[in-house]
Amino acid sequence: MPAKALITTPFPTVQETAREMGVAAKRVRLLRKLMTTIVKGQDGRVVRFLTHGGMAASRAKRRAAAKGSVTKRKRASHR
Amino acid sequence: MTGRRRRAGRRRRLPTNTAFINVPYDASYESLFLALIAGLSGFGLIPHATLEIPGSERRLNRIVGLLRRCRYSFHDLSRVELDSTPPQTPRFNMPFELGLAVALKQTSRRRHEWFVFEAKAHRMSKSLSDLGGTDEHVHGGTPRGVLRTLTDALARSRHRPTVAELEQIYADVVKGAAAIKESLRAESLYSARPFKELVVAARISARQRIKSLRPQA
Repeated sequence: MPAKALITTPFPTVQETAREMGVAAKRVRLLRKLMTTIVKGQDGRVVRFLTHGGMAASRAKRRAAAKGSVTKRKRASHR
Repeated sequence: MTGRRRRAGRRRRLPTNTAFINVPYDASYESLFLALIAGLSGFGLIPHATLEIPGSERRLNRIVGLLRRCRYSFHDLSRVELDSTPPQTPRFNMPFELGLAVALKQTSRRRHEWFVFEAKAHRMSKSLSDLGGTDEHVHGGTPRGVLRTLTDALARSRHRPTVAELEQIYADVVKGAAAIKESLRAESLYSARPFKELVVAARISARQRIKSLRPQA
């Protein structure tokens, strides 16, 4: 067994890692947001982010848009 | 015809940056498990573990298959003492998988490098004397120890991470693990989905934390 193994392969990208691990692109986008928030030190937003602010929130937004409430609100704010 | 011949002649290339981790899946090991994921990601390796493969396949086949795919393997022999659950038994899984890795290196043409980790110095010479002459990497049962031993075992030709950078990645992964666990409603990190997401999260952190990988302003 060598004392130290020298790694010469290029540093893998996030996409390569996700492909190797079989993680969906949509989830990778959420993980990227989560980790960027953590790296920036904005920890308070972390838990809210994956629980309420993730896919559940976008589903809720879509549902609200289908009802027309968001578009009306947006229209009002644009005026 | 020529296309078929070409396809038959082409050998499937296996990734060269994958690492098999052979560790105990218990609650008290969780911080070291996260440190291993963070550290290996910091070195540009993609960790794999038996827990990520669906359970329908025979366990031993899964282990051998995964080991064959991986260029490196890391075996932690910390749990050689008797556990508290009756009947009290030591854990033989880790030494057994280490044996498989050693056999793979001896018999396969594909390059494979294995490393032994231990919590206590000189214990391996008593518990596994067949590996006499092999240096174990002693981490002392701490995440910092795991990161330090990884820097002793590995080196990169480019983008060499420092222990301080690995510690930053570890701190990010600990926070990310809590959020991933919460979001997946997972009871433990020792299951397929949290593990796979942790590996991706650690890669994202590594790319932001390692100075030479950051985009130049």
